[in-house]
Order: sequence, then C-alpha cells, then structure tokens
Amino acid sequence: MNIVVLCKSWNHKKALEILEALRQQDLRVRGIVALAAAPKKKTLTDVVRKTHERALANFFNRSSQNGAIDGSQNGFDSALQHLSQSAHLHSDPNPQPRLTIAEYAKQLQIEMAAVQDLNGEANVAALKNMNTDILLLGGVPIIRANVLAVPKICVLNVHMGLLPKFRGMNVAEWSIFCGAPVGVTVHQVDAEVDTGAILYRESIDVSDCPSITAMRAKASATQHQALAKCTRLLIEKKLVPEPQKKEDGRQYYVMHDKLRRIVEYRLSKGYKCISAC
Amino acid sequence: MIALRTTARQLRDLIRTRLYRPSHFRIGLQDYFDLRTPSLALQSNAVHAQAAMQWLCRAQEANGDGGVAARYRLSKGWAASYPETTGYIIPTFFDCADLTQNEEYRRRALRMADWLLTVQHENGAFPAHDVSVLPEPRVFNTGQALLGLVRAFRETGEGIYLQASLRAGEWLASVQDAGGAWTKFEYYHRAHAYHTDVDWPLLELFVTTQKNIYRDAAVKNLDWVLSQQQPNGWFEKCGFKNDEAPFLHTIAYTISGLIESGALLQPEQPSQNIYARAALRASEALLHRYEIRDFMAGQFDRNWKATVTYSCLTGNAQTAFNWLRLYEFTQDARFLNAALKLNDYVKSTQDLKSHDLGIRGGIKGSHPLWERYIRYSYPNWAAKFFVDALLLEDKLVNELYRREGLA
Repeated sequence: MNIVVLCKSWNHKKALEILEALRQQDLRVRGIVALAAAPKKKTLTDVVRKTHERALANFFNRSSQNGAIDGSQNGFDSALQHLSQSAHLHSDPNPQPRLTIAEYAKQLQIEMAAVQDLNGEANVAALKNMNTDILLLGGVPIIRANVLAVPKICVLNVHMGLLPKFRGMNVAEWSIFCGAPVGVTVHQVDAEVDTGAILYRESIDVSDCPSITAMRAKASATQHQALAKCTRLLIEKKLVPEPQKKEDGRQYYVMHDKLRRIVEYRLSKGYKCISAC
Repeated sequence: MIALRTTARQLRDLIRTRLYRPSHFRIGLQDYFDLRTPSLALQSNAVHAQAAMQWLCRAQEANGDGGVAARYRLSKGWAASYPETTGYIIPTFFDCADLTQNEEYRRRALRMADWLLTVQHENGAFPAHDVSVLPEPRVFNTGQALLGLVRAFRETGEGIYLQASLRAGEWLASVQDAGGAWTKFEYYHRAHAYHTDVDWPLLELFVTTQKNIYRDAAVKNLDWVLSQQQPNGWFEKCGFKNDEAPFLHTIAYTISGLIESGALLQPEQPSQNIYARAALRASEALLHRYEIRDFMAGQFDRNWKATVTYSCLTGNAQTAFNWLRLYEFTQDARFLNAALKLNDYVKSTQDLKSHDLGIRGGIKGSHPLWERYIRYSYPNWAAKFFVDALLLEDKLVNELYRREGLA
C-alpha cells in the first residue's frame, strides 16, 4: 500500500506530526510531496508597508514607555497587550530542536518530491511516479480535481471539527462559540470544502484547556493520531464511508477577535458542551 | 500611445485634485501603498463613529441651507446639498441623538427635514442629483427623502412632515409601471432591482398611516424584484446600467430594501419572510465570496465574481449593516463575524488626524481613492452607512458580551 503525504512546506509542523503518528501505527510512508520554497521578490510596496508597520510599532512602544499614550482612551493599550500576549503565545517556553521533513524523510528513507504548485501537473506526475494508493493531506490549501483523481484508493484529510456540522476554518473555535462539542473528523476529500464522505470522528474534552492555544494544541495532537488510526483501519477495510449532505452543515471562516474573546472566556471557565452537535 | 494617455490622465488628476497639497498628497501616498491602519491599532467604534458624525455635521454646515453636502471633493471642496442622501441621513442623526442623549443631533436632523420640505416638487417628487443641478424628479431619490420625512414625523408628530411624506408616497405609486417596476423618472429610464430601497420607505409610510396604497405599491415592486433573482442569489438589473458590473453599493441597496421590507411586513418572524429570505440567499453568496478572498471587491458580475480589485467603501459599510441585520434575524454568527471584519476594513481607511476637515473622519468613495466609485471624493452616504454599521455592531456585540457575562 503506497501512502503519500502532501504538505505545503518542508518545514511544516503538522505534516511532521502526521508522519510521526503514521510511524507509531507501523504504517510505512512511500513518499512526501511538498511545495518548493519559491524566492520572494521584494517590491517597493513591500518595503514601504514594512517600514510603515515598523514605524507604527515603534511609535506604540515609545509612547507607552513614556506614558504619552493614555491607553484607556484610545485603545492602544489593548493593542499592546494583544501584541505582547501573542508574542508570548507563539514562543515555545522549552524549545526542542525539531527535524525538518526532509531530515525525517532521509532518516526513514522516504521518497521526496518538491513541486512549485500543489495543483500543478508536476504534482500529478510525482504522485503517479510514487504509485499513490492513499494520499494524506498534511495542512494544504484546496486541492483541485486533477490531483484528487490520482490516488487509486482515496485522498484523506483530517479536520479540526466534527463534520458535517462544522466545515471550513477555525471550526474548533466556532464549535465552542455555538456551544457544540469539539472534535476531529477524518474524511475523504472531494472537490468542495470538507464535504467528502466521513470515515472517522472523535470528540475531545476541552474542559481542561484554559485557552484557544491550549485547545488547538490538544485537538491538533488528537487529529494526527486520528488520521493515522483511520489510515490503518482503511487499509484493513474496517471503515465504512458515511456520505455527507451539503445541507447538514455550514461552512465557517476565520473568526474575528471580538468573537474569539467569547471563546477564550468560555475556555477559561472550563468549557463544557451545552448543545448537541 | 496608451501609456502616454494614462500618464496625461494621471497628471491631469494630480493637478485637478490638488494632490500637491500636503493633506491630499498624504492620502494619495497612503492609498498608493495601501497603508491602512493595522487592525491592532484601530480605535474603538465610538471613536470612529464620532469622527464620521463630526464630518457629517461639517457637511451639513458647508452650504448653510440645512441640507447635507453631497460630498467633499479633493478638487473643489464641498459640493451642494443632496436631497436623496440628506433624507436617509436623518434617521442616523435621530439614532445618534437617542444613543448619546445629545440633542444637537436631533436639532440637526430636523433642520435637514425642514430643508427637504423646501426642495420637494409640487407633485410630491424629490429631485435627482444635488441642488446645483436642474431639479428633475427621480423615483429612487424620492424614496430616500421619504425615509427621512417619515422618521421626522414619527419623532415630532408634526403634520407638515406627514403631508410631505403622503405626497411623496402618492407620487411614487402614481408613476409605477403596471408590472411593479419603476422605469419612468429613473436613471437611464430603466427598472432597477435596487428600488427595493424605495419599497422600504413606502412600507414605513404604510406602517405609519395604515394606507394600503403604499403597501400595495411596495409589494408589487418587491415581487418584480424577486422575479429578477437567479438561482445563485444574484439579482438582474441591480446596477445603474445593464452593461456594466454593478457596484457593491447598488447590490447592497437591493439587499437592504429586501431585509427591511421583510422586517416591516413580518415583524414577528422576519427570517421567514420571502423578501428577507431572498436577501439571505444573495447575502450568503456574497459572504462566501468575501470570506474566501478576505477582500470585498467594489463590483461583481452575475456569477458573484469580482470584476475589480478596488473596494467600494460605501458598499462595504452597507453590506456590514445588512449582515448585522441578518444576524439579528437568523442568529447565524457567520454574518456577524464577516460584518466585524468589513467594519474593521472601513475603519482602517478612515483618516482621524488630517488637518483638512473635509478629509478628517470622512469615508472615501473608493479605496484607493482614484478608483471608479465616486473617485477623489468623500460622499456623505459613505459616512452615514459607516455610522449605522458601527452603531449596530456595538449594540449586537455588547448584547453578546452581556449575555456571556463579559464586561
């Protein structure tokens, strides 16, 4: 069985975690296809925008240090607080040296291919060369029909929400906002967003997660394990795909900070699902 | 040759719009590099709304007649007062008076209403364009003036506003086509789907007077508009012209007229009303387009495909308001979420510090300001819709926070 993982960069954490979860399930990965890093050209507009952003940040910092800005009046205090919080959230307190996907693949002798476009012909050719049976999506943008048609068995994706109700982006947050259970779903991929047949679902208790970051970390760990487990069950023919109806769910999009605040608050109080999904 | 012509046009614009003035140059530079205020540095809605209201007050004072100047032009400063938009600015001022307990807003709203009475035609119609242009009667503009007059009557009980409203309403009913559309006394003598925004004031008049003639005219037009809706939610004839991709501004008018008409015809369950449901269908399509691109374009074709890369800020503010209303009716938080983002976008383009009082607090027609919708200008209706959207956003978000126990 040829399992191939598609990821958006050679340094993508999610893809690496999926590879590790597959290894734990004793599943051998045939190949990895990732987007080649393209050198980004800097335009004058990029330079001006960057300078503008830097000048604004300096202004906020200087003014807040001098006490020149009265935050309670102009809202800059919350901006600064938010900035410092997000800096804190994104920094790992115990940084561990992490392998890149390329290093990992080299260690396990997994075939690698770099492509310029995940929906391009080069990707189709790479997947065909690897004789792909099952393609696993490791956090990639929308994949088009030409690529989806290549694998002989199916394309699988893991979604950080319980389908069919919660499709799209930030669905863990939207589940909490709607008072629904948080969970992950492994599903086959079709031409639309999160509408393919469902193979596996798992709810997650997030009552011990005090913040969105903590909740996402827990859901993230669960979803990689779920994808690996599901791949094994699929190979063993122990799963029956459950088709979705479009009208059974809604597509959600990136959540605005004002709504995220409600989600953060509910998590800080120990979120318990209040409505049936 | 084309490059030469483009350069010549840019040079002409540079001189005509006085982009050499520091305050104008700054706006031009900011728009050229898209240097909008980053979301983390945006001020509260109250600060942005207050700046827009102060801009609207200056627009009212610009001509000294009580009406609100149509726009501030970088080329020539304030334009003449504009009856159509003065009409629908009136409810915004009454709402602000209620919210802030500042009677000055109420006095200003009544001055606007009094000015409207002076420009109404004998037959009850209101003129197209601002008052510097020959006053030909226009259906759409009459509808918008009617909205302000009905509100002035409700606020004061003064018969003079009611009489003017009745005359306007009767004129609208009298010039309607048998099929429900309005083609006479209209832009290019064509029927427009955005006349739903005439139906809404007619229904406000019906609610006030209980005279069926107004409701019947409104419903006849609403039914005609529904016949223009395509399976993908799009409305044919929702633009100024048939041969160009409609501005978001007129798409949003079409949707808002349907929403408010639905709310007036079925107040107990607006989300079940057929007109509101038609608005919901169109809004869902628009919301999806907006969210997947994370950008709201200024013009769309009948497949909801963006045909331009600029923003029509007026349309953004109107759409944010429409989505907030749909959230109120349906409790579908995706509409609230998208409206918050759209409001942030418009806030990020508002200049709160300019020394030029025609710029400070105003909302541009287009972003960047040289694009097609009301280029190089700050229309009064953009500021009005922006204030409406921010006030409604605050009300709904505060309600949510209160329910949640958040401060």
